[in-house]
Amino acid sequence: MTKIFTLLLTLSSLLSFAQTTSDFEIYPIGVDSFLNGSDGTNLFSSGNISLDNDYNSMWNSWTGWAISSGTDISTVEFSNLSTINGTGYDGSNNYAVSFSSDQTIMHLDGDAAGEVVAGMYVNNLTVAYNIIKDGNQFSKKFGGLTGDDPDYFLLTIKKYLDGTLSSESVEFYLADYQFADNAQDYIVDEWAWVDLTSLGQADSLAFSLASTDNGNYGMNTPAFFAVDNVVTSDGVVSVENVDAKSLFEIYPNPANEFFILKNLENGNAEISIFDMTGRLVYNADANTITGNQNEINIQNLAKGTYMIKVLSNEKVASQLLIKQ
Amino acid sequence: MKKIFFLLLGSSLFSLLSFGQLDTILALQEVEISAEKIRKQPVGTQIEKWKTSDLAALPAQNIGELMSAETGTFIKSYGSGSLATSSIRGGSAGHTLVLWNGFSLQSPILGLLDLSLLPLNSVEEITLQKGGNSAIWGSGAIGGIISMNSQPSFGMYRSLDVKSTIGSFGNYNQEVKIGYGELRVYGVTKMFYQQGKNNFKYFIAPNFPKRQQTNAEVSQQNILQDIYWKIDKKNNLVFHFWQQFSDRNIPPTNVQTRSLARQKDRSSRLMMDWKNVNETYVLQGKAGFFKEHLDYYDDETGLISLSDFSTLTTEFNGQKFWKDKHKLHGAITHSITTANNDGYLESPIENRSAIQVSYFFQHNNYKFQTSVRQELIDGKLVPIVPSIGFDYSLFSWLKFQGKVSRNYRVPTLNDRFWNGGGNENLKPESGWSEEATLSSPFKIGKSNFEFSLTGFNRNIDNWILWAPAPGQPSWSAFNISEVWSRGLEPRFSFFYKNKKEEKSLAIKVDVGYDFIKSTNEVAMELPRREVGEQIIYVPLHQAFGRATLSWKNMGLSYQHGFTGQARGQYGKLDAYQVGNVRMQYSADWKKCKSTVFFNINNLWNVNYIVVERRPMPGTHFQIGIKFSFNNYLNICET
Repeated sequence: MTKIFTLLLTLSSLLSFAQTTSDFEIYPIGVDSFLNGSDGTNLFSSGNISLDNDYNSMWNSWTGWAISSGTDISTVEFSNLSTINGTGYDGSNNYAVSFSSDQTIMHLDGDAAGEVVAGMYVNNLTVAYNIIKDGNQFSKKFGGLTGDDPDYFLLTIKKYLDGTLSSESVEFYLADYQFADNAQDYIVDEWAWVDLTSLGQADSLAFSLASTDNGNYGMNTPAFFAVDNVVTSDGVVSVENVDAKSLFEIYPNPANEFFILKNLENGNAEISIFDMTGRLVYNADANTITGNQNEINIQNLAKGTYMIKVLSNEKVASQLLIKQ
Repeated sequence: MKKIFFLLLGSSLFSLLSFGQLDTILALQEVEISAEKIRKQPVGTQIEKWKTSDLAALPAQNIGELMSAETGTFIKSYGSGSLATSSIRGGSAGHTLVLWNGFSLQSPILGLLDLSLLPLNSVEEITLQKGGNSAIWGSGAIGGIISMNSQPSFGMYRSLDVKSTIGSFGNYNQEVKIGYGELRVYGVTKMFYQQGKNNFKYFIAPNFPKRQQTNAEVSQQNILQDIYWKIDKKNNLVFHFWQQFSDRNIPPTNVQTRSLARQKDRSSRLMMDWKNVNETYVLQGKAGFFKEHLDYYDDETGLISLSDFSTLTTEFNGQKFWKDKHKLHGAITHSITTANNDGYLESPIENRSAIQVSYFFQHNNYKFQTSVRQELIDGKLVPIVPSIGFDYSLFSWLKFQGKVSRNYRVPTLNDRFWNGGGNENLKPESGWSEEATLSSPFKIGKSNFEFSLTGFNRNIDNWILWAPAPGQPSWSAFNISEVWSRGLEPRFSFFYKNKKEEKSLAIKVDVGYDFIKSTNEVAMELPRREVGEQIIYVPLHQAFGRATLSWKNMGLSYQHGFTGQARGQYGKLDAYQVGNVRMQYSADWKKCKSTVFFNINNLWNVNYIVVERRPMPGTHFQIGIKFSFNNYLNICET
């Protein structure tokens, strides 16, 4: 029973902050590969975000976003799209890479459009990390000749809302050598969380990079960074958590091959069934559950206890169901 | 040592101060009777010239060092043993045309030439002519021309020159020159080997230990073969062959932890030149085949960039003269270039054809020359370029020269064909140049003086820059900019010689200052340009001075150069002053000559950079010895 209580708590809290995580794992690119638009894709989508790609087939070059599963943590080449630690966030396979001398845009889609973005993980690519650390024929080693130069590589994130670019921004140092004590100077070398809630509601996010190493031809530091596990709000922040009895009824319970969902609210409902590990085992959207009474077939479910979650008229409630 | 030639003055004013290289003093220098002569006469402008004997007495090893130390020309040197390009009168590296026996050495891929790859001993004469000269020499002759000319020493039956130099930072040079022939045939073989570690230590900041340069090793081998054959009274045939191998590591910048990059240059150049000399006309046919590879490797990133080109040039020219007063010269040139480059989709073939006509008139105290050239590149006409120049001698002590010319530089193959921004529709950079010189030579006792002042103005339109293109992921080449260059070049020379004998006390002093304002006339965001802003790597002020003292068997010379503040890619470059000293002692041995010399470079141990992030060495030394064994018409008997 303690277990069930914990689950209920977890679900309840998830529902009250309904969020989607975009982790780019839906792209089956295997390990140590990438999608840079050369296959004709000019938009990558994951969860409730989408990312533009501009690929020039004649010049084999791209700007905007790519999806990478790179693992090469040593090759200092612009074609190496691996993060400096060689994985996505938390050891995952895929992540997104931004490359632009200007700015890149992350569109918020579906339920996330116009909502607050909770945040995301960001990281340096192998190429940027090493060039910041050691320099090359065109870019400087941060710290400069003496190690004392107050260099930095800064990611600035702004938002567009209703077509207007915000003045407020979130800044994140991908490398910071501005400390008086050079021992504190650092280059980000693992996935780091960037909280974006302070930006408030947004239609899209705009990313730009700045460095202290610039010339007449622009920034010398390679204009790369990586993003993973972008957490967007699902537009259900206004959903009210209510007692199940006021929202729906199910019977029979325990059930065998089916049960009846009786929607006490007028209008459509979305139903989700989770097993006791929290895994979603059944989902029917509001277009399927339209009437007052609907028969839900559970023949395929194993015997056991399940959590029924119903969302209707911006109210959400949960109840346990036992399958015999 | 340098001999300044003012055309009207002739060479009599400044008799050459020579440390006496037997080979060139005693050998019968061929009087050049060439259809090209009119092209080489710089009417309306000035020319500086160095002969073998001058070059032998200089601390410089290559043309980059020669130009930097002797002419006040701004040489953009990436460090000892590294790339060196020139900026003459505020032009870009591609605005200096470098000729080898009249044919351009410029890489058609890059449009420039690394002057550190041109050893001084490869030819017998080097000239520098500032100002535009496209009407005669074509593309690239905008800022000036460096001309390398081979010259025979007929009658030098047998000669052998061996020169060995060792220097700081593991530098070692070995030169061997073997001459052989008789009155109608003369051959000379020149070999040059150079290696260096260039692992000098450079200044970081006060209280910081110096840092040692790494990955800066260079080695270079050259072999040149010249054969001159006087077939009969009228016909001459000349062959030149030059093979070069250069391998060098590319050192890290001073803000780079390490570099594993290296570059290989390979070049083979073959040239044939036939002349038919008659009383009132000269005909000349020339052909040259140049093949060069430039391969770049970075073992750290795995980057490999390979490129090569082959150019076949043919030229036919003729000159007609009337009692030396009027001369008419015409030339037809054609060249075909093929190139391979990782950056090109296909290997381009470039065809260039040109027709050029010059008229020269000389009478009493004035000279006049006008030229016009029309070039056709892959079926497209470049702007027709005329020039007109004159020399006028008002008095023996006051001369006036002037020249107006239109000049151009064609886009490089990279500008045209690079996959990712190359633009086949680029036009040549072109524009007008004007210059005038007032000079005043005079003599007091045994002392010769000369003051001169040159002023120039030049506007170049369709200046090619790579810039971001709207809607394109890569930068692209555009005819986007305009550059206005103007300046003043005052010069002063003093020469004193006690007696006419070779070993008498002689003092020579040259001082010069260049004020060059070279400004962008089109504002751009990227690459960042502002209207009226000095273009990068052109110092507003430059000055040089040098003094040479020779007495008996000894020689002592000092050069001092000042380079004013300039703008670079990343910010301002500080002004600097560098001084070099050379001491030399010559001894005759069995009527043949040996010379020992000692050079101190960067005498004042100045911490400076020419190119941002590229450190330069502090004080360093060279010591060397040269033996000349000559058997010249049995005068020198060993």
